[in-house]
Amino acid sequence: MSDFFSILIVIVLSLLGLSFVPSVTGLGVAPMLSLFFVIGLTYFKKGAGPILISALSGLILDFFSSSPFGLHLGLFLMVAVVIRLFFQEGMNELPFGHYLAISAGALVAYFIADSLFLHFSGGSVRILELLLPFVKFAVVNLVGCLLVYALNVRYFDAIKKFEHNRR
Amino acid sequence: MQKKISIILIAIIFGAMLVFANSKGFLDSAKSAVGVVTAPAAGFLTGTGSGIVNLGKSLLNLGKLQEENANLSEKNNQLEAELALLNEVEAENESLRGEIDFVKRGKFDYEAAQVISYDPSNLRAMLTINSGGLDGLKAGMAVTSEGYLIGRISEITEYTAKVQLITDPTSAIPVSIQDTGVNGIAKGELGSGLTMEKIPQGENVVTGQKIVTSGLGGEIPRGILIGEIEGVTSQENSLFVSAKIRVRTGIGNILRVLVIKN
Repeated sequence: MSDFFSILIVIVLSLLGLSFVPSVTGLGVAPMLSLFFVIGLTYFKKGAGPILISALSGLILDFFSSSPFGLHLGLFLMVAVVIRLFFQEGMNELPFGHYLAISAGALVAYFIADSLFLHFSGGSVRILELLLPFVKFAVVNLVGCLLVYALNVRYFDAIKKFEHNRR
Repeated sequence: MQKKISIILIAIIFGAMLVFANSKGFLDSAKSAVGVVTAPAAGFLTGTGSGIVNLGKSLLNLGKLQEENANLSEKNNQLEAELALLNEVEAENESLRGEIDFVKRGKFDYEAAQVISYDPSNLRAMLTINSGGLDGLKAGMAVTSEGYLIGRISEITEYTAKVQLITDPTSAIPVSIQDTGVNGIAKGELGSGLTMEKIPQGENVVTGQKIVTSGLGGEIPRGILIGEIEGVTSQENSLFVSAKIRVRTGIGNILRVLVIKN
């Protein structure tokens, strides 16, 4: 049941990030809200479910992206795998420090990969010119990251209550 | 630990299979399905977001001023586009005078579409629109807004199409300076910039000149307004000069577009 809601949240967050937020901010930056959600989810839930939901989330972004297909899928899977490998799964709470560090690491990795792909696909990419887009990207995503953290905490509380009542 | 490794291996194999399937075109119908399912919701969200922004702006600017400004701006864009077209026709008439076989300029056949999403990549300038192959669109077609060329279709599914904006860093469009006919290439830059390159040294290039499509290459019709020159850069030992082009305002936040089908 909670997997169904998680998928629904991923779809809604992806669409918000791709359509609503860029048109509201006018900065031309689509924040990866679904990435922040699946980071929390992979911490919180055990099993293969969060990894599959991460893959779905990456796929949705790949469908709308002009970057090479698989960039988002790869990033989302990599993040889920890193969390599974290095952190305890099924945690009761979402540690803010870990969440922020993994989000920041994933965003920097994504930005570097995207810049490299752009360079190899013939775009003129100079390091200094990347600075302004990176600042915009970082600011919009940081705000998104904090908002989704609040959503994650509430959502996981609700799941815990639901499962406690069921027992 | 073994369980963890097997989950990771499955994830990697799963991801690799999907990338392979996409490269072979097996995911095309899945992409169409995603377009069908998400286009209405995404279009609604984009429209709502833009509506909220406009509402906020209207409130800040006492409503009426904002509306008037938007109308005037739109009218100005249209008039400039019309003027560019008329100038182009005049120049064409001039060059064709005396020739026996006169080729009449064809009228454009348009398809209206709504922007449904923006590119998740922060470095690219791309849009997805809610018209696709079933509406007669094809890759390479020119996309305009208020008479200005804003990009061309780069990828297509049955129900949606991706538009590569002229400001995308990998975009290159053959253009010419309208009043002199000097040809060059308009290349997109990071941060929504556009530069006309390959202008031979010694040509008359000044601020304010209109830049239109040259029609070279055959994909994009000739004479569509792109913008105007706002600065010229010249290097002593170079064969060419380049010119910064001021494009239509708000090119990254367009809601509705017209695709030229013929």
